Order: sequence, then structure tokens, then C-alpha cells
Amino acid sequence: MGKRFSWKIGLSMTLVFALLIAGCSGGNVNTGGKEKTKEENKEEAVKEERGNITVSIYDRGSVPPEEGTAENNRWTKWMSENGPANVKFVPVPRWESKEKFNVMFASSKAPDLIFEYDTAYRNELIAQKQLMPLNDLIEEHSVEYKALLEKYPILRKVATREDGNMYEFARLNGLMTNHLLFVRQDWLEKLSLSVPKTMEEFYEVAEAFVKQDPDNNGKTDTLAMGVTMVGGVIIDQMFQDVAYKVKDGAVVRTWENSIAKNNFLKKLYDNALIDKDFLTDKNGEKAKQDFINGKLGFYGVNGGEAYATFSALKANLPDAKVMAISLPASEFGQFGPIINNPVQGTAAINANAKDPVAVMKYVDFLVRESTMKTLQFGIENEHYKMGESGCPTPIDAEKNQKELGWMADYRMLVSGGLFGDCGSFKHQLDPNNPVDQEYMAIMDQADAAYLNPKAPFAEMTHGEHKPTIPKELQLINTNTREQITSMYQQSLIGGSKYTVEQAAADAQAYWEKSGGKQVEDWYTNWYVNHSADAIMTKDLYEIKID
Amino acid sequence: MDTAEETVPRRTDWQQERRVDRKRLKQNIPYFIMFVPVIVFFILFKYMPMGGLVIAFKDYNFADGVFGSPWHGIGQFKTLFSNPQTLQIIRNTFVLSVLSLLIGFPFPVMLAIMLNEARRAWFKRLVQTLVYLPHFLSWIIVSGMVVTIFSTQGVINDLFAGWLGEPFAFLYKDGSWLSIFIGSGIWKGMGWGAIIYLAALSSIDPSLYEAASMDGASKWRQIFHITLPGIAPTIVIVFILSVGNVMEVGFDQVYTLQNSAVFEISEVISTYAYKIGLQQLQFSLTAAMGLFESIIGLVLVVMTNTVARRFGQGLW
Repeated sequence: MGKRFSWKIGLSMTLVFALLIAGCSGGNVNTGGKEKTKEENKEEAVKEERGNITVSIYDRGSVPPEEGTAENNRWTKWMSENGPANVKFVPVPRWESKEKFNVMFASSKAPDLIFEYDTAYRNELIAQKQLMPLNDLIEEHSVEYKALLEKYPILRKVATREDGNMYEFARLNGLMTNHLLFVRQDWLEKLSLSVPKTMEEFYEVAEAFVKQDPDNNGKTDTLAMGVTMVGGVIIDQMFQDVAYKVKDGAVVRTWENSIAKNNFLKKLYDNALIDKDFLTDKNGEKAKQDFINGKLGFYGVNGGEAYATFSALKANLPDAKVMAISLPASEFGQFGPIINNPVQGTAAINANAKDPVAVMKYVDFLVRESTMKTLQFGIENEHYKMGESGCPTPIDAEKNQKELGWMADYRMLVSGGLFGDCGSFKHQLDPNNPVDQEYMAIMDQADAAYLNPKAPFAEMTHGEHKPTIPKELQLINTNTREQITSMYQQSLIGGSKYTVEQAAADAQAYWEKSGGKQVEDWYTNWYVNHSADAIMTKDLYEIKID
Repeated sequence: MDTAEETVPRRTDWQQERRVDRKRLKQNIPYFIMFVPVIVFFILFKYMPMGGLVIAFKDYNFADGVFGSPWHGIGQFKTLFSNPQTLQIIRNTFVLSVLSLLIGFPFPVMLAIMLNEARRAWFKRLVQTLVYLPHFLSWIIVSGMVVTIFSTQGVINDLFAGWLGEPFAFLYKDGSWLSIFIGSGIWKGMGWGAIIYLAALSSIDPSLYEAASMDGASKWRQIFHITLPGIAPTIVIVFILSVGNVMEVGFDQVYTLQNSAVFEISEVISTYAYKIGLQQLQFSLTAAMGLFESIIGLVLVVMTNTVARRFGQGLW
């Protein structure tokens, strides 16, 4: 029998396998090649002083297909061409950013310049020594960012950690609203109701929105309010049910607030004023659809989505009228919804970055006034021209929507606050379009209602300025959070069998059993020692940028 | 073919004599060469990653890496078991998977037998295609459908509106959530699982059925005395393999179906590892939990195999 023959088979099979494997790991082979060219580029770079850097970019799947992808489109090209370095963009899925970054850091493939909004996560990275201290780098190699730091020392403050090092680049947003509470003004008018000022009035309006057929279709198919996602956060603010609050100089859990809030929610749920399936609406899409279809009276919306949501509603129901209202006062006081962080850390340099100087130069390029202006408004005479107000005015709003509408994440170092009033979204709207006009009115209402320091949001400070608690305490927090939420939610849907008070008692017992006291003590300790110099809620409303 | 037949007796000789038969070794070199890629695959992707399990005994951080991070002994396990939630999570993992296994296991077998009994070929093919389909849908889609169907404004509640009086929140009650969880798993996996049994069924000698029907055995008798014994070895092997997976409830299914009202029964090891490990950077802690999960899985496989071996059906 063919001994040779089987040899041949064996060899050829092995070859096939080898080819298959090579095919599968094609990515690696390619990157190997790229690295070579990178090195070649480096040699050239020494002459031209052009570095090669990698930069993360959030991918929300919102880039229109004809514009390309998050990592390759007209603006990434523009930044590479006009910037001081060859930039390779690394897409990071927006809502799984932590997982993606974690995987990249664990395998040492994280980009050199990291854009991430979540301060707690950046602090984790600092604790893991994955971010580079920036003081010396800025001192020695920066021009523009250094100048910005000198002019606005608060940038230095937000970026500095307890060890005295600066770890992040920040931007100045100025005082801006974020969450909005929409109400259907036409429903209020039809039922001759006024804007509710207290929780009792709020409940009455909610009941009328469901029982008195505000949409005039003869069916009781309307709901009072969306209580998932932003809607839920807004109700938390109304009752100051924000996990921790300061009481007599100590930080305590908001048990009494939770009881009041959940009793209110239970009343809404038991009387069928809110969606009975709200617990399965994990991402708030159902509530959003209800609002857009004209079935919701009150709706809490994220600033970034407010205009799109409002226009979608107007497209469905041209007669709908919407206004943004102040949050009704509860027994715990009058609060506002969460506002945008006026001074926001957004970027950091990977501790393992190969060429930090090139990254620094790129950051300098990003914070240059002309770059900021282009990223914010587009290219002069192509996307905007200077209007009578002295502000850049869109030439063709529709074209801009398509070419600039998805750019928020490319502006993470654009200090919108420096544009003054011109930076406001209002100037991107078309004053001749009736829908846009109405939306401008809503923005004015929101500014008046929510930027008021007398009704601040209920937390001690903005989530992005909160201190990060040590890992073991963080574990207590995460381990108990869902259990406690679950207890309250069971009381919401449990009718008379399981009361909110009972749930609160169970939750408190569980919290104490899990060592929650240590977390409260840690926060109290932080509050006593740091609240004076940290950026607290009231400070946020006073930040001025000129 | 002839080499394969020869190998069996010879191998035992070779083992007994404990010496390398050079001629045979040389003869088999082509097969060894063909086997190399497989070995490389297993070493690269199955055995080397196991080294990463050391982080269960370390305090892992990015800066020091897998091998440089400081040792932490059994500290992670201590943290794990001092947390009241842990036992609950392990219990849930166990309950969900054992129930899915026990209730779900017979379904593909029954389906395969029923398909086998169908007389019209076109009908058989049509049903087969229809029951395979769900296997190709991702859990995101399936659970989206399930949640819509069973919500309080869903089809089921509409159908039984008159009978139930007021809408019943299927997804908020432990019992009904569990049934929905298991049911959806069966619905999705049944058709796919039946394939292997259908293959086994086709290898049963038709003359057995002819003989049985000549002796006057009814369809039931034939199923019990010919079909089932015919596919018994396959059933046992599939069972042993699924027992090995008992501790790993599929992540997608639980994660997409769970909601906080049924948190106490729906949080399992894989979802916990995702939330705490990947999102909160507690890699060591969740690696410890994963290791624990694997050890239980191993014990279960060995146990099942021991039992199966008693009945002459062992896997090894």
C-alpha cells in the first residue's frame, strides 16, 4: 500500500490546516505588516515630526452609512490630515465601553488617547496605574492646553487626584441643562389643568391624563408618565431618592426618601396610571415609543435626544404641544433634574502610550480655537457662515444634520462654553421652521426652570465629580444594589401583600448585613474632609466661563 | 479500513509489552502529522488559557498582569462566600440548569421519535424545518418575542382576559418566569437537539420493525422495545455531555429574559460574572467563581459517567 501516498495525504492535510489557521488569524498577519510600515513611517516621522497614535472613539452606530463608519469618515480624515499626527481611530461601543476598554487594557491593546465620560471608570484605571500622570507632559510639551489651564484653573482642579497628579483632559461646557421633564401642554389645556407644583397636584394631573381621555379618541389608552430610564431618574430627584444624602453632617442612605418615592410609584402602578410592564422596559424604548405615539403625558428625556424625540412626536401629531416644566416639590423640598457637567473630564492618556509627546500635540491641536470651531460648527462657507447675531449659522440645516449631526463624540475636548451663547443648540436650529421655533421655546423654559440654584438636582454632586470609593466597598455597593432595587420593585407590584415599608425594612436589614455601614462611614469621612474643596452641587450652578 | 481493524488488537499488545513498535510508529507518521494541528489547537486555545485561572488566587490588576499580580491565597473565595448573595446565585444557577436539563432533555427525543413515525416525507421535512428555525434566532430576538407575548398587555393576557379577570404579570412572578424561561429554552433548542437522535434512528435496522409488526407488536410496543433501546447509547452520551454543562446556564438567555422583579431567582453565575467581573473590574473574584463552577461541573460529569458505566453505557 502506498506508504508514500499516505505521506502525501498527511502533508497536504497539514498544509490545508495550516492555511486555514493562517486564514483565520489573517488579522494578526496584517497587523504584523502594519507594524512594519509603522516603523518605516516612524523614520519618516522623525524628519516631519509626525507621530503615530491611536485614539478611541465611541461607536453609537449613528454614523449614516454614506458617511462611513465611526472610525473612518470625513471628520476622522479631517483630523488626521489637519492634525499633527497620523491617527488611527479605535471604535468603542458606546454602551459597552467599559467592557471593551477592560478587554483592551487586559490585552495591552488599549489606544494611546482614551475618551471616556465615566469618571468612576477613569478612576478605576488610575487605581490600576493605566493612565499617565500629565503634569510634566503638559509642562514640557503643551502650548494650547497649558494656556487653557492657566486661564481656567478649574480644569486643573477637576483633573487632579489625591496624589496631586493630573490624569485627565477636561472641557468647559458651561452651565447647561441635561435631563428635561416634558409635559403635553395641549393635554393640560384641554383638561383645563395647570402645571403641577406639588406632588399632590402632580398625582391629580396624572390621574386626569389617564381617566379623562386627553387624546380624545374615546378610549382610556393614555398613560400618565414614563418611569423608566430618564423618567425614573427624574422621579428619584423629585423625592431626593438618590442613595446617599447629607443629614446632620453625616452621609446616610436615603431610606425615608425611598419609602416616599416608592409609595408614590405604587399608587401610580396600582391605579394603572403607568405602564404595568415598566420593569421589562430596561432601556426605556417602550416609554419613548409611547411618548412619540402621543400616549404619554409626562416624559423625562435626555438632552441629547430631546430634539429628535420632540420632532418625532410632531411628525406623528402635528397638533401636539410640549413644554418643559419645573419638577413638582415633594416633602423633601424642591429639586431640579440633573444638569450637564459644566467642567467635564473626558480624555486621558494610556500609561503605556508609546509616544506621549505626539498624543499631547494632538490634544493641543484638538483644543485649538480653530479646531474646536470646526468640530462644533463644521467648515466655514461649507456648513456655516457668520450670521447677523455674530454666531456661525447653518447654511443648510439638512446637510448639516447629515454631516455633523452625529459628531457629539468627536467634540469631547471641544469647550462649548467658550463659544458663549453661540454654542447653544438654539443657533443650530432654523428660526423659520415652526417645529424648530417651538423647540427653541422649550429650551428657554428648560433653562429658566433647571438652571436655578434654588432648585438644584438632589445629589451631593454631579455623578462625574463623585469620589470613587475603594474596591471592596464598591463591591458591597454593587452586590446590594440589585437586591435592594428588586425588593422595592416587588413591593411596587406586590399589591397589599408586600408593602413599601416592609421592603424598605428588608432592604435596610440586607444593607447592614452586607456591611453597608462601612460605605456610609467612608462617604461621611470623605464629606467631612473634602466637601469644602471638592466641586459640590451648589458650586456647579455658580461656575462662570467667559 | 483494514488498518483500523488491525489496530484494536495490536494496541493492547503494544500496551502490554510497553515498547515502541518502530515499524508501526513509522507507518502511522502521516496520521500523527495530521493530528498535530489538532494538538496545537487544543494547547493554544484550550490548555494555555487555563493558566489564566491563577488569577482566582491573586489580586489581579492590569499593571502587573496575570503572572505579576500579587498572590491573594484563597482570599477571593473568602470574599465570595462571605457575601450572602453568592449562595443564592449558585443555587439559582443550579436550579435553572437542572430544571432546564430534566424538563428539557426528553423533548428532542420525543420530537425525533414523532418525526420518525411521520409517514409522509413532505410533512416530516416541513415540520423538521419549522422546528429548526428558532435555533438560528439569537436570544435577543427570542426574548424580545417572549417578553412581548407574556407582558400584561401581551397576546396571552389578551386571550385569557375574560378568564383571568385582570392581567397576570407572568414575567414578575418567580414561578411563571421560571416556566417561561424553561419553555423558551425548549422551544428554541428542541429542533436542533433532535437532529442527533434522528441520525441515530436512521441506523436502526428496519428488519427489526418488520419482524416486530409480523409478531403483532403495536406502534407503542415498537417504540419501547426497538426505537428507544436503539438510540439509548446516543441518549446517554448526550445526557452526560449536558450534565457537564449544568453549571453554565447560557448567558444570553438569562441576561435577556431577567428583570429585577425576579432577580432573586434569575441572577446566575454567568450574569454575575459579567456584571461584577467585566463591568466592575473584579476579574479575580469572578474567576474564583468561574473556577468553582467548573469544579462542580467536573464532579457532576464524573458522577454521571460512573452511574452510566454501571449500565454499560459509560463514556470512558
